[in-house]
Parts: sequence; structure tokens; C-alpha cells
Amino acid sequence: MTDTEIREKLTSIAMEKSSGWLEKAKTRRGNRAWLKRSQAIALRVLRTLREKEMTQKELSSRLNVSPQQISKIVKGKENLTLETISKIEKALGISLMNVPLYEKSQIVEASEYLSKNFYAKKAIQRTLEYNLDPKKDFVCENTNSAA
Amino acid sequence: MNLIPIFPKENPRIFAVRYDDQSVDEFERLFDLWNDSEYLESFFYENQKDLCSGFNRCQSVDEAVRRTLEDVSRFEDHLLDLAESGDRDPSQALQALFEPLNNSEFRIINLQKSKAKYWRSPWLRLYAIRIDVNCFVITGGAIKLTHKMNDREHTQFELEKLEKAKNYLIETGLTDKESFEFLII
Repeated sequence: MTDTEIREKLTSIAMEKSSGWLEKAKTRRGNRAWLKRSQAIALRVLRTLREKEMTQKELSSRLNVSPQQISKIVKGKENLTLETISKIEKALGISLMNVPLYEKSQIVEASEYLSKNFYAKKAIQRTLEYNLDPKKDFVCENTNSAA
Repeated sequence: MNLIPIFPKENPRIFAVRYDDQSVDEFERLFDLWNDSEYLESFFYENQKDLCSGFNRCQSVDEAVRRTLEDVSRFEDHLLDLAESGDRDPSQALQALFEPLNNSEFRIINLQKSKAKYWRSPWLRLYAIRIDVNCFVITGGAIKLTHKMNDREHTQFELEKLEKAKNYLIETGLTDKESFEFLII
């Protein structure tokens, strides 16, 4: 059988409708950023359920949601709201989100700025020296009493 | 059993088997499974011993799940790029992706049992039959943690699926018994 005959035969026996994979793969790629977070949360939830020997059904009762909703969450395919995340954290006694108050990069930028700016550095030094000066409160008191 | 076209849209070169007891083809089913945190956690939990066998660097269930999810995204993106390449001929890329199932086979022949082994993943496998030089039928896939497919029940089952698909392709008159050979990806 020639290559062309094989192709023709193959096309004739295959179904006309293509696989649903392509559309699903496109959706997964488009949602990759939040899906990664959802999968990480799912894994943490599953690990905690194993440690606490708790079933998904028990968790659904604690959260007052359907078992189907829990199933979606542990599959890592759910775009979770902050409200749902908070409820899961409370129900399982774990932390799922940690948002840093300051980014490390901002601290680096500030120190770089100070190292390059002589006057700004001096001003901060003067403020620090003033705040640490033990005579400061005494001076203030004297000023107040004089007034 | 049915054959479902995967890609390219015009003149498909990759097909997948849809078995009678499944609602979707093997290609779609496997990527759904491999993107499912619950399935992966359960699979690696049940196969923890193999994660610490000589074949794999010892790692925890959580590490294995995270690694698989990362590998699957890259693997799927690579396949998606091939699928979306439009008019460009993906022949070279497909040939590079698939290799013979038996490591001792070096030549490419029709109806060869094949495997798609994503170079960045230590254990994700797609199994296929080569119909033509650049034409493949995906018969299944697995997370392969042991050296030989016969070592574990779930990979042994994939060998049975390859055989079943081969017989189906012969029955349809696509090839004869003499020209058949297995490949693996």
C-alpha cells in the first residue's frame, strides 16, 4: 500500500469531528496564570485532608457548599474567590495566601537611591540621630514649661 | 473503537483512539487527567515507592505533582504550537517527537508501535502506532515510573491497548500483519 493510499484509507475510517483537546489546550494556556495558583491551592487542600483524615464530603459540610464544588476545587480547575479561599483557610486551619507587605525590590531601590543621593542620606541620618537623642524629651519638656 | 483526528486541521497527521467505554479520545482524556491535581496526587500517593526507586531521584508526592504539572504545561504548549503552525509542515517536529517503543528499533516503518517522550519530563509518555512516516495513531499514555512497561499494571495495560489498536487497524484493512511494528513516544 502506498503512502497516499494509507492516508486516504485512514481519512475514510476516521471520524469527521476533531478531538476536543485543541480547544481545551487553548483555554488552559490562556488561563495558565490563575490555574497554576488554583493547582497549588488544590494540592495544599488535598495534603491537609490526608493529614487530618478528613473527607471531601466533610469539608463540603464545613464550607456549606456542594461536594461537586469541592471536587472542582481539589482538581485545581476552579477560579477561586478571596471569600472561598478565606473559608477554606478557616475550615482547615491553614494559610493558603501570603501577600508580602513590601516587595524586596522596593527596599533595594530605596537603598540604591540613598547611596546615590548624599542629601537624602544626610536628612535620614539627622532624623535618626534626633529620634535617638536622650536629651530630646528633656528639651521638649523645657520648651513646654517655658511656654 | 473510533479514530479521532487531532491535528493539523487540514490533512491530519495525528489521530487518537476513542475506546468504546470512553466518552472522549485518548489524547483529550490524558491531557485532562495530567492537568488534574486530584488525579496526580492520588496517583503519586499510590505509587510513592516508585518515586524513590533507582530509576527516579527520590522526591515527595507534592514535588512529583508539581513537576508533572509544569512538564504537562510545557508539553501541551509544544503540541499546541505544532497544531497551530497552520500551513507549515509539522513532519520534522513529529518525527522528532515520536520514537520506537522498543529501544532496540532504529528504523522507521509503517504500523510501528511508538512513544512520544517529552524530553523535559522523566515520566510522561504517549503511546502510538506509526501509520506512515509522519502519521500516528495515539493509543494511550501513562506516567511511567519504572524501567519496563511490564513492571506495573497501569503500563502493562497500555501495552494491551497498543495490541488492541493494532488489531483494529489491521481489521480495517489499513495494513497487513507483515508490515506492522510498534512504536512508542
